[in-house]
Amino acid sequence: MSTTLTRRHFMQSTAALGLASPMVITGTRARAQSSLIVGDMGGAFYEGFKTGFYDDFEKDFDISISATTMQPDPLPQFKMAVDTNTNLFDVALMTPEHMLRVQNLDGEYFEPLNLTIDNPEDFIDGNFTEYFAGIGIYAMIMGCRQDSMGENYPKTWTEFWNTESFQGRRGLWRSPVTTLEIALLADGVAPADIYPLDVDRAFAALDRIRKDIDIWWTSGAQATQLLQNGELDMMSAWSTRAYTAIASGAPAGLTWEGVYNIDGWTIPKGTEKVDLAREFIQYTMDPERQAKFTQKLALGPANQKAYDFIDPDLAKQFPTAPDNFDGLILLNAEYWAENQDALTERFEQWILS
Amino acid sequence: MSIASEQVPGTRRPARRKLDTIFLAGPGLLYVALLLLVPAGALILLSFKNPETGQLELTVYRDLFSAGIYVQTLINTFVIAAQVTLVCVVVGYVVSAWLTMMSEKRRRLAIWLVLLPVWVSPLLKNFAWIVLLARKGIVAQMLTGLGYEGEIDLLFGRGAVIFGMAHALLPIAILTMLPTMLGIDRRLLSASQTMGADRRQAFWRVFMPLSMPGVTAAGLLVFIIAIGFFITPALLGSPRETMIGQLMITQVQQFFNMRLAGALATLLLVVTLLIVILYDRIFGISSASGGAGQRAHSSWFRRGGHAVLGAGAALTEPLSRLGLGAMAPKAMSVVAIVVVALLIVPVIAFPPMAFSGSSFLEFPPKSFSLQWFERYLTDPQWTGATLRSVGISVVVGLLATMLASLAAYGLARTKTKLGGIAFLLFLMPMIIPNIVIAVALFYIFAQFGLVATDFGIALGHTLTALPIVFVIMLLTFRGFDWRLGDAAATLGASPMQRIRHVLLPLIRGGALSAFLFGLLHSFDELTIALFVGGGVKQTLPKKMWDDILLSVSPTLAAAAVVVILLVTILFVIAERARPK
Repeated sequence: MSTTLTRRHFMQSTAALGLASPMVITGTRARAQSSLIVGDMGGAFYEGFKTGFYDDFEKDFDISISATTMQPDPLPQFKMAVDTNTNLFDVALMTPEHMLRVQNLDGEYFEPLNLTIDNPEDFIDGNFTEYFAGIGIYAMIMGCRQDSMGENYPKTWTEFWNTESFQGRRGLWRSPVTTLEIALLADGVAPADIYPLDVDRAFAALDRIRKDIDIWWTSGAQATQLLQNGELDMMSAWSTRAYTAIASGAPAGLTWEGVYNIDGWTIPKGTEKVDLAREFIQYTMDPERQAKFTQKLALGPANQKAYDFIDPDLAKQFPTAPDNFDGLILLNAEYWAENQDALTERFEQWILS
Repeated sequence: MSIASEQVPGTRRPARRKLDTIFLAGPGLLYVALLLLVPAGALILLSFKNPETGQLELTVYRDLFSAGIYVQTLINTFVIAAQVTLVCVVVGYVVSAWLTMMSEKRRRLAIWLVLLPVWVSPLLKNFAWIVLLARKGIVAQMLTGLGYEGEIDLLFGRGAVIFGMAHALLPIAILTMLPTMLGIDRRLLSASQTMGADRRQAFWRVFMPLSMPGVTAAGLLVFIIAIGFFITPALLGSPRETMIGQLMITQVQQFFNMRLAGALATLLLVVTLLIVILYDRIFGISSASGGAGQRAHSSWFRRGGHAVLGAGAALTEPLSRLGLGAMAPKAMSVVAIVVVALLIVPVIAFPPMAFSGSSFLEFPPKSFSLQWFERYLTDPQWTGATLRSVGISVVVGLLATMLASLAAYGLARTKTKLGGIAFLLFLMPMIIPNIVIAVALFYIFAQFGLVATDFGIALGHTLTALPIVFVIMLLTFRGFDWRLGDAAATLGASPMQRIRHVLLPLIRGGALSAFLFGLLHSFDELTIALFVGGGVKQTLPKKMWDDILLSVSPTLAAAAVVVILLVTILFVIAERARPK
C-alpha cells in the first residue's frame, strides 16, 4: 500500500511552484482574524449546531462563524487541506475511526485540543483523546415503515434476518463497517463478544440474507430518502438520517439495536486560529448548549447532563437516551482503522459474486 | 458538433508560404502531450515501479488479478458499456432516420430538443429518475392507476443503469449518426425503386449500408464514454452494476492507493485501445475520425453485413405483406417522438421540485415555496461553488478556443501528411476514458502542487474540452473561403489587415460557438473536478454530487433550475453562432 502523495512532497512542490502559479493557495488566509471556520456535516448538522453553538458563540465572543460542509468521507479532503496548507476549516467534525485513519498516514495532521474538563464522568466513555472531543453520538440501527409493516415489524436483527415471518423490501448499507457487526448480532453473538469480528461467521450470516436484500444503500442521504419515500420497508440506517425522514412526516419507527459511533471536534494542523478553535470546542462541551442542538439535530448529546434540559418525549429519539443506549455497542475504531482496506475488498468481492 | 459531421470540402490549392501551417498546431499538441500523454505515461509507470527500490515489478497486477473483484468489475464495465452502446445505436438510429425525414426547419427544432439534454449533466438527469421512478413515485402511481398490479421495482438494477446511461448518451449517438444519414443521396433510393425494389428493400439494401459509417462512429464514441461512467451505476444500480470508475474513486480517495488506481487505469486504457484498434480493423477508423477516405472493409465483415441486411429485408417481408409496411414510417415517428420526449423529461422535472414546499425532493410537489431558491442564493457554499464554476469555465473556454483555433487554422491549410496524426491527437482526450484522464491528472498535479487549485481544474477541463472546440474551429476554417484573403491582398491589405478585417469577422461566429461549448463542457464536468479539486475547491457539479450523497434537499433542485436556465441560454447562443 503506497502513498506517493506524501506531505513532504506537497510542501516542496507547492513551495517551488508558489511563484509559477499565482492561483495556487490564494486560500482563505487573508480573511479577518475575527472569524472561525467550522466544518460540520451540513444539512441537519448545520441547523442544529447553528442553534446550539454558532449563533451564541458569535454573540459571546464577537466573532463570526462560517460553517462549511465536510465531505461524505472527510479523509481525502482533510489530508489535502493540511497538505496544501489550505485553511479550509479551523475546527472539523470527525469520528475516532476517521482520526485513526488519518493518523496512520505519514506526517502530523492534528493540533492537540488542550481541553480542561471538570466533570469527565458526565460524558460517555471514550469521548476525549488528546486530539478529539466527542460532541454527540449516532448509531447504525433499524428503521421500519409502519404503513406497510404495521405492528408486525422486526424488533431485533435476528428477526430482520427472518425473511419468512417478516416480509417486505429490505436494505442494508453497502459497507463492511457496521454491516458485519449487525450480521453477527443477527447470528446471535452477544454484544460484548462482537470484537474482534468473527469475519467468516459474519459473511456466512450475510449469505443467508443476501437474496432478500433489495437495495444496498451507499450514502446517508440515500438512506434517508429510501425510508422517507417508502422505497424500502425495513433497513439499516444511521439514527440521525432515519430521524430526518421521520421528522419530515414519514411513518417510520426505529429499533435501537446496533452500533454507535462518536462525532467530535478536531483541529487540523497548521491553522492560525488554534486558540480560538480551542475556545470554541470548550464552549460546546456545556450540557445546556448541547441540549439546544437537539431541537434540530437528532444526535445524542455526549454530555449526559444535557438530558436535564431535554423534553423526555423528544429524548426517546436519541441514541444516548438510557433505554436506547443499552442496545448499542461502540464501533471499534482501532479494529476498523486496522482492517478496513482488506475487509472492504472482501465485502465488495462478496457482494459482486 | 459530431466528429463524423466534418467533411473535407475539397483540398486547398498550394500556398506560397515555405513554412507549413501545421506548426500552428504546436501549442495545442504540446498541451495534449503535457497534460495527457505524460500524465498517463507516468501513471502507467507508477503501477509497475516499486516506490522503494525503483525496480519494475508486477506485484500490483498480481494483487489486482488475484483479488478477483477488479477483473470482475472490469468485465462488468465492458458488458454494461456494450449493452448501452447497443441500445443507443438502435434507438438512436430510429430517431436519426426520423430526423432525416422532416423539413429543415422542423428538424432544427427537433435537434435542439435532442441537444439540450447533452449539456445538462448526467448527475442531474439521473437524480431526476430516482425521484420519478421511485417505488411510490409518479411513474409507479401512473402504472398502478392504469391497472398494473404487483410490485413495481424500476430502480436499482441493470435495467435502470442501462436506461440511465443510454438516456445520457443517446443524444451523442444521434448527433453522430445524423450527418451521415443526411448526406445520403436520396436519388439512390428512387433509383433502386425504379429498378424494382420496394420501399422496404430500398431501406435495408441502400439506406442502411450507406448510413453505416455514422453508426460505427456513434457506437465507438458511446462505448468509450460509457466505460468511464460512475455516476449512473452509483445512483441507479445495485452492486452488480459496479463499474471500474467507482473502484478507482475508492482506491484514490479512500485508501490513497495510487498504484492500484494506476494499474486499473492501465488495464482500462489497454483494453480501450485494443477495442479502438479492433474497431479500426473491422470498420475503418476513418469513419470515426471523419476523414474522406473509406478504408475497404475486410471481406468477411462485408459478407456478414450483407447477410444481416438481407435477413432484415426478409424478416420484415411478411409484415409488409400484411400491409404493415406502410405503417413503418408512422411507427418510427411515434417511437422517435416518445424518445425525444423522454430525453427532455428530467430537464423539465426540476422546476416543479425546486418550488416545492416540502423538505424532500418529490414529484409532483404538494405545496409551493421559494425557500429553496432563497437558500441556494444565500448559502455561501452554493454561491461560492457557482462562482468558481463560472470563473473556471470562462478560462477554459478562452484557453481551449485559443489553442484549438491556432491548431485548426494550421490543420485546415496544411499540406503535410502530419495533419491526420495531429487530428487524432486532438481527439485523444475524447478517446481515452475520462476517469483515466482524471486519475492521471490527479497523480501528476499532486507532484506540482496543482491539486486542490482552481488553476489545476481549469487545466484539466481545457484538455477534455479541446476535442469539441477543435472540431468546431476546424469546421469553421474549412468553411472559410481563402480566396477572400487573397482578394484583400491584391487590393493591398497587409497580412495583419487581412486577419483583422477579413478572417476574424468571418470566423467570429464559429469562435464564439467554440468558446461557449468549451465553457459549457467545463461547467458540467464532474470527474476531473472530483479528483483535481481534492475536496478543497468545490465546483458546482461537485457540490451537487456531494449534496446528493449528503443531504438531498430541494436546494439541489433550485441549483439545477439555475444551471439548466443558464445552460439553455448559452446553448441557444452557441447553436445560433455555430457554423452549419
